[in-house]
Amino acid sequence: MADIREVPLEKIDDYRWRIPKSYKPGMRVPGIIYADEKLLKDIRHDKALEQVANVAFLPGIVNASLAMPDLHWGYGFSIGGVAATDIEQGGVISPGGVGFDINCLDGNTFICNELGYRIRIKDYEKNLNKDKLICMDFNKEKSDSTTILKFLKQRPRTVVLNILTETDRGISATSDHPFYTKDGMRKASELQIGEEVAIYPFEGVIYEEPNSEVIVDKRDIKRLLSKLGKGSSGRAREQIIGHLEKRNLLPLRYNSIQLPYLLKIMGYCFGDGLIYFTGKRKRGTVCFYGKEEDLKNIKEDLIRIGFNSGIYSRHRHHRIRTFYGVYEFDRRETWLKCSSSALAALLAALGTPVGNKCYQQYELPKWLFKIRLWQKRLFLASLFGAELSSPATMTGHGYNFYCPTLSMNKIQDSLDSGYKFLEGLSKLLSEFGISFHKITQRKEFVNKQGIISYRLRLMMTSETENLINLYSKISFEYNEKRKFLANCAVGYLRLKRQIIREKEGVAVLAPKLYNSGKWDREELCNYLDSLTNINERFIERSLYEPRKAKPRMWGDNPTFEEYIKQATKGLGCSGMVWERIRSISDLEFYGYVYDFTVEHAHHNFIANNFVVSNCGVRMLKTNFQYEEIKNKIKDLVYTLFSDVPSGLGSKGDIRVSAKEEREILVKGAEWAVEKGYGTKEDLECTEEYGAIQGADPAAVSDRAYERGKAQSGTLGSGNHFLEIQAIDQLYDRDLCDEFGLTLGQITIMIHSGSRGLGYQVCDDYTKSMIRCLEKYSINVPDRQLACAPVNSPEGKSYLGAMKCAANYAWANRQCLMYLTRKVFEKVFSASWQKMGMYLIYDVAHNIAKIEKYIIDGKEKTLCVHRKGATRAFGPGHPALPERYKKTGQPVIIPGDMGRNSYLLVGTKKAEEETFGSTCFTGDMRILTDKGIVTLKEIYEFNKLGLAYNAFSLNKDTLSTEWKPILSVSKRVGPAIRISVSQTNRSRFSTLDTTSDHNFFIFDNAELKFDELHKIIDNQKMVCVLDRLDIRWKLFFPRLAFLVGALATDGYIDRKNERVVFTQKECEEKVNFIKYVRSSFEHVFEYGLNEGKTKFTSGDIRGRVITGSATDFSTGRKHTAEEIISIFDNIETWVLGLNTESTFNFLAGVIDGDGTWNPARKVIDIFAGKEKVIGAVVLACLKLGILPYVSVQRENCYIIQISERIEELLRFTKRVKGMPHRQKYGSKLFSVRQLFTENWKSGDIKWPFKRKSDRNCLMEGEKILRFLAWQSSSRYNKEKIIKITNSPLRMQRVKKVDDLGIDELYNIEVQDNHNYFIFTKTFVPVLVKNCHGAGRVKSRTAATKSINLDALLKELESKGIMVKASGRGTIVEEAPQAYKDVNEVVNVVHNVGISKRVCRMRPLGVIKG
Amino acid sequence: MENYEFIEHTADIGIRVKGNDLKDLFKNAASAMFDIIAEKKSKEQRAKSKEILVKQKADNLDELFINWLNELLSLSATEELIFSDFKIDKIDKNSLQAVAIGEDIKNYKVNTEIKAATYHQLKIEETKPGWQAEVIFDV
Repeated sequence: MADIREVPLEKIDDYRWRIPKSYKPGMRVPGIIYADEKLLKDIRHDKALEQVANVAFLPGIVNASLAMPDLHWGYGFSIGGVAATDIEQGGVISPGGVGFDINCLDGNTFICNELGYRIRIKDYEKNLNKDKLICMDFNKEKSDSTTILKFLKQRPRTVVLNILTETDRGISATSDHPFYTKDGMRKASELQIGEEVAIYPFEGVIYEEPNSEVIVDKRDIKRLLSKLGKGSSGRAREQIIGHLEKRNLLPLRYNSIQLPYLLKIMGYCFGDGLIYFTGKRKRGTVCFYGKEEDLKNIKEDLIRIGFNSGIYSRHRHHRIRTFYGVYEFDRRETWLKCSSSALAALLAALGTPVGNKCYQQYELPKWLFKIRLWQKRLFLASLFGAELSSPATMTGHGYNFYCPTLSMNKIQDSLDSGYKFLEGLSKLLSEFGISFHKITQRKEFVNKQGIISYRLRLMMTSETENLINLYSKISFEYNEKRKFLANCAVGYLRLKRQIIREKEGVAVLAPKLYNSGKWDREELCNYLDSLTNINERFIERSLYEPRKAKPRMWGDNPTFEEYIKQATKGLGCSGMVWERIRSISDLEFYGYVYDFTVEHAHHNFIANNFVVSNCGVRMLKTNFQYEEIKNKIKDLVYTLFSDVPSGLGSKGDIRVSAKEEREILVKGAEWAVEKGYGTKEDLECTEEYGAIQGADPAAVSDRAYERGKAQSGTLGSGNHFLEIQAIDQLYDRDLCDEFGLTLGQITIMIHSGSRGLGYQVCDDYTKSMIRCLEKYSINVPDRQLACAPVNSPEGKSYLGAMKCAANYAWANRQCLMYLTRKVFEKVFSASWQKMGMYLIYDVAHNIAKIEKYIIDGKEKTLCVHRKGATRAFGPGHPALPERYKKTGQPVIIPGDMGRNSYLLVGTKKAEEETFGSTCFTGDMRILTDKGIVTLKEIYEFNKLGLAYNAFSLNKDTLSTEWKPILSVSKRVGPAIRISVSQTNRSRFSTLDTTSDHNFFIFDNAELKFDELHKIIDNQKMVCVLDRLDIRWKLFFPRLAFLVGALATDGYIDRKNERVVFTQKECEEKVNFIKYVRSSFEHVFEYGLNEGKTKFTSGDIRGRVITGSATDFSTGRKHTAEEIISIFDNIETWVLGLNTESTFNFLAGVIDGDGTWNPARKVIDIFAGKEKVIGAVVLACLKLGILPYVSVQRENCYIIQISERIEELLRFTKRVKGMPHRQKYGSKLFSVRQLFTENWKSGDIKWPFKRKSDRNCLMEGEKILRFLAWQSSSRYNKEKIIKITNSPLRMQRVKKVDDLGIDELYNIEVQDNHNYFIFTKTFVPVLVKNCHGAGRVKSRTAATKSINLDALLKELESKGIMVKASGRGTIVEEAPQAYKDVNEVVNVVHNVGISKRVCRMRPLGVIKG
Repeated sequence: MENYEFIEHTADIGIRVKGNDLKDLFKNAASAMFDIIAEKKSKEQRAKSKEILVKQKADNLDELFINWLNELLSLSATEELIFSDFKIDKIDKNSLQAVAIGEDIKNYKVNTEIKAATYHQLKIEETKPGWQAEVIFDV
């Protein structure tokens, strides 16, 4: 725990603490903890801080890793998307749906298939079948396989990075693609040189499509059977053939889908397998010998091709005489037996030896030489799994490997065939580039049968390359241990190769440098030492004792054994190893990138909570409408009643051992899912993913265990029930759509708890806490309220036990849901998936929770007990699963029998209180990595959990960079309108802000900030952005031109997914049209068709204008989709382009909607669509062009470009002109603000004096030119040079208007605390964060008042069917005691704590 | 078996039970509790019964009373029995020793599950004819 105490915390204010990003390399955002000092102490005991910090590693995390006041220490972030990914393939993951966050791999990246072949990811487009990929189960530290659910292909939207590891492994991926590192999943862009990433060393071989020739057919089997003497009586032969045909194994072809598995099985048979036919009827059996875990894999493969088998074991005593002596040992022998004549016959027909291989004459079947390399690999790998020696280094050495050796025993008669067999093998191996050393023969002792056998050994060479080929291309199958060692060996050998190469290099370089005479010995050693990992001794020896032999792997380098330990730390036996990153570089990239979504969703992060529940409710939906099942309700109710155990002491069929029970207490619903009683998806829809962390099974008494043992999957009695309902009222159609709910739809609600275990926990602790009342001097009027301080040992112990009960309850409800689904399956004879019986949500409603509230203006920490109340997180809450981020948490309010139930969602009412005083109005736009976005949008999307990075200035380096926006706040206050422009005369370049907001200025060549009204009063000028320095550089010149042209002159018919490009075919446009059409063909391999020509006539200012225009269009869906997806994110897309592509984009826009203004010799672009203007402005800024934007009428903008025109016109096809030679400089600076001190003291010369006196702007380049003549003692030259080289310029500012009270927004930007805000005409002005606390206090208003337990049963005879196990009379005796659920919901809805979604009417009720 | 009566309570079940002495009171309270929980399926049927020794200690009578009832509930759940008879051997304000006699739960029809006997509004008092207790059960 020591390291946890060291988590550094910075105090923000009394209730907020920050874990700085620097705490751990890899934290993307700081952690923010809401707590007071006392609480913090407790948190320090827990792993909470560490957890907060760990959460900050997650890709896609929102702004900061927050531990909110109402969460106290527990809630991890809901991540939803950290899926299991195969690391070797670069982490296959797609954070669902958000268009611009899809992260991808280069199409040439190889993906490793489960069957050990490699295929380029781009080829999956054609080949997306049921292929399974290797992936990683982080919890079990094991590799696993997974099915591909979704395949993605698109053009990259962020820079593509090439990552190289120390052993020369390379991968190209978009910068946001996650990789698995020691700190968890991290984006490629955040990886650092020297950091370790997980690598799966196995490579396999490239996939080739096999042909469809037949290997074995009916006749072959018949022939074989008659040879074996299997009679034709009793249709035995026909039966065998029938079996094989039924399983699609006859005829067997090279491309049969079973062949890969057969090859593996066969390979193993050649080694540790045995085929025999016994008895009169020649029944065939196939046996495999090996370790149980490996046999299980064979068993699975046998099932895949349609055969069952069993694993058996026995103890055996062995006595063996060998060359070295007599050995005696006991061993547990395990074998897998498949008693299928059909399989035995098929394998034999394929050429597998029957009977004792020692006596048989057999060779490799000829057809094996005809199969594809990847298929050969399967055969060899499993043969090796059985027979090839383990990768191991020499005893007492540790660096060099033994020769891999494959041995077989043969008697004299079959010796020849043995040689032939091994020669055949070596022929196969040579195809993999693996060479063999020799075949040796040794005479063995007389065996049991009294026959002398000979041992033949095929020894491969132990050269590094040979071994790498063997272990990375072929490796082992059906032998997990050797497979693991092979992976390690590949990692080790590559490292070794690298080190030796380095050494070789040094051995050559060192004498060369030394002999040049320019280096002394020490210098040289230091230099070479810094270059490589090689020790000084080696370098010295290179100088004095030129070596004859190759350098070796000695000294500081790890032995194989040490390497395994280090390289697989934390990766277990997955076969993955850590490798250091050597370099990361940007790629000029053209083409598509690809990605998968895989099924193996792995949630490593399970939300953690302080809360406890032993009672809750879950709701699931179905596809049924009331009309469809109304006649079945009786059946359902009766079957449910008989199949779902209910009532007192009811025991379920789901019985568990004490050990398993302990597991339930910790794992909750996940236990049930692991048992097969549900799916991972169910867990996502369960509060806390169905398990609270921190459950302490030791805090639960034996008696409680006893009571809980048999009650999993039982309903219990009291107010617990299971109800079939129909939706009878929709309140919010949008929300209903989100949940997939319609009027009349059937839903099911399950209300139950932790059963006997929970009662016992409660009873035990009530008993013990009665002692605490005295111990802690607590005075309560009712002993049933016995309690202990939350922080006391008793309190803690109770929490640990309560958590257990909560988890048990979740597991129980999961089991109940499973039983319910089973009942539906029984009644309707359809699978539950087909019936759409998906869980909507499971939420606990008996809760005790630590929260902070403002009481009398003071923040206080409370332990809020919620009995019969449910939490209700609003939209965007981090603890919500992805699917409910948008809607808010579903809140389920069950009515009691006969009453309606409700589904609501949590809201975020009055969540924000901001104390900052400086802000902008919501329609102001800022520059983010998602384009130009209004503050209001950021505010709204931030609530949905979308993360933005703001373009921000680093005050020290005066360079720009992206920085996360930490928070967005909103308040109401007075605003003013200012204008920012070069001349101070612009009417359009306005900003709406508060007069006290801090803007950046230069003062005596120092970057400072000041309140706006002071800046205006002192006639100072503010800093604006001069150019966008962004290193993204996607290379799509022709596509960029097309996008520019289509953005202005094109039309995308989104509904019909058509792209239309309308042009008047006049002479000046011919080139342009031609170029667009050819570009289209070039980019999409598909042209634009010429369509209708339309004639128009209109009236402009009294003149009749007629014209004609032709449509060029394509109806290709994919093309339209791609263009639409670019248009949807056009600003981000433009941000990513490289220089040439950016020029092309602008050229396309100019050709589309631009014109040459001969009078002023500038280009004018007319644009109406704001998104396009944003993109054009960004493109200009990227090229260092300062566009001048003016507004004509309401919505028409004119963008004037006066720089780099010559270059631009090289890319345009239509717009041409003769530009000025003169450069229009507009990178201007206030001379007075650069030379403030000089001006004040009078120590200032021409031309700066005059410009300062008049408070003029001066071009940066001119300033530098004049400055060059001056002595540096007078002026602060260095600073001024830095400023003029920075991506900033300066403009004048003045107040234009008072706006009165308005809604105001502000954001908090990490580290730099500044961002660029655009004026109405897109001048990016640098401004500071709000200087106030800027606190966004988010709290979840929970539905405290809903007393679910106190809801009344009001049985009405409305055709509601009730089946109860108990009399259930007593509870119903006091109906007045219950609040009407309808009223409760009304109150909750009207107050705004939750929002109504729909109402359900009960149809049938099962009650305990 | 009508040695108890229901008392007014909103959500849970409350009973008032009487006894000639403490032994009687404890016995009747336990009987009442199991009477609420279950009724025998067939009166005539005589099944094998099981006896279980119950020992409890407490700081005061209230605690002893609640512990006694909760212990029986707990035993009933783990042993899968419904208790129908109780022999209280020794009792004072701080301790109790008794034998609970029960039959397999299968012979009973279960009506209500009682989670616990609570301290809420618990009253144990000596009255003229003997003892009286009021207790609320969490159902």
